[in-house]
Amino acid sequence: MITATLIQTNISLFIFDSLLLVALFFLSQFPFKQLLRELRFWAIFLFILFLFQVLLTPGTRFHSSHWLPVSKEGVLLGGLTCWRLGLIFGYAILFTAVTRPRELQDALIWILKPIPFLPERRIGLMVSLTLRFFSRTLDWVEEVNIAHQARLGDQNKNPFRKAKLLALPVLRRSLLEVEEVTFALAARGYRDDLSIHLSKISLSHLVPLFFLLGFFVVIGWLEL
Amino acid sequence: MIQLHNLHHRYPDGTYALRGIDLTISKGEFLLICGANGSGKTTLLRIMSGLLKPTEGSISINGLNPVKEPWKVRQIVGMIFQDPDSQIVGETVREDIAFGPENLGLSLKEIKERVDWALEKMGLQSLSEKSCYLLSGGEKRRLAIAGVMAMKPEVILFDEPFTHLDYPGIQEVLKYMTRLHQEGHTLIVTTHDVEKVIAHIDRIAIIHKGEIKASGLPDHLVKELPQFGVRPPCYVILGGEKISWLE
Repeated sequence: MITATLIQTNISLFIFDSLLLVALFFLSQFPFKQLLRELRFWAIFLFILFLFQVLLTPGTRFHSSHWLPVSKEGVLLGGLTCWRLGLIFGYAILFTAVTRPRELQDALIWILKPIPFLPERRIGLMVSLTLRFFSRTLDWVEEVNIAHQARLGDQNKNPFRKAKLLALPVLRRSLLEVEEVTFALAARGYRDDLSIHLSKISLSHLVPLFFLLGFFVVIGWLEL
Repeated sequence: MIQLHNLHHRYPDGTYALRGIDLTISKGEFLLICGANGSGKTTLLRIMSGLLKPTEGSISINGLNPVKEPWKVRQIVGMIFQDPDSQIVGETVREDIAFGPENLGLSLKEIKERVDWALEKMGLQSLSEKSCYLLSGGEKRRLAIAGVMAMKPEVILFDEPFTHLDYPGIQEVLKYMTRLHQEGHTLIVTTHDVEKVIAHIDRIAIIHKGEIKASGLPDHLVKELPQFGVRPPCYVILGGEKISWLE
């Protein structure tokens, strides 16, 4: 539903999505400080994107500041793009924060199960390991960063050198870990060919599904 | 019974990890394989559990060949890895323990029974719904053991089980190891830190540069350890009786 509204250019839908996002954030009790921290890096990206849109989109210039190489269309387009992407990031952060990896994995397996010749068990395991590796990789990055700082590595301001010094140990450790996990899976008798028992859908998941169904019914009725 | 005969393992770059290993391990034995870093301990354990293939020689575990029947061997032999984080695949403690029994193709009822049994055996009941990544070092190691125990293996291989553990963590793991031994499991432990297990093992095998240099009763071999890059236990250096880390 959110995706369908976000691909439109209707501002009222954007306002609806924004209000809904704020309401959902309040409901989820997600710490506001944490949200700001998560959005910090994306905000820089959005700002750069906004500048590009503003400076490169042709159109009529502002009367009051004609000397500025900025068009009205550019500001509108840049604003809408950043608003849309900001909403996508916001929903992504919220979704990641309130969904357990196991639920994601189960949902994926449930979708893939009817498709023949797809090893749903392997795909499910890969997803769960990827999610796990992602958080572990972030931990390693943090650890390597701290280790660099301990040896005054933060004094060097060259971003390429910093990236190289960070990437190499993290990459090496990741590869070693992948090898270890492969062995550990084999040691615990991992097999692709076994059927999977998915847990039952809980009531807390059924309620939003019914809500969504009701929403579509209402939209369909209004369209008629 | 585990029998290794003239076992060699060579890495793709030509380095020999193991050279002519001959070793027989009886049922119910508690064997310590000790050696310096890079001596081939981990490679030897991985071959025993059917995870690596020897380049030469033969291996038999209860009459089964891990090269030809790795699936059957892994049902008999469980392995606890040096870093428990490599072994943990589940999100919660319960989920992780269930991974092995699921792979055995057991029914849901049987999986639950085995998980409950392993949780109780390793004293993890109160942590069953806890996220694996929030566990302490000792708890993670216990979880790794529980995950293997739920598959009910006869032989359990421990690769450097005391790494990164504090004193209570070491005692915790050691307590469960001795219990498993008393229950009749065959335990094979690799470590360079002999001190912690010396009071509980039946036999030592010293591995050096991929070769078994000596094998026998702990009291007969402890004095030879330094020449193979392994520190002997304190009681040998200072004189006195063997001391258990559980006391």
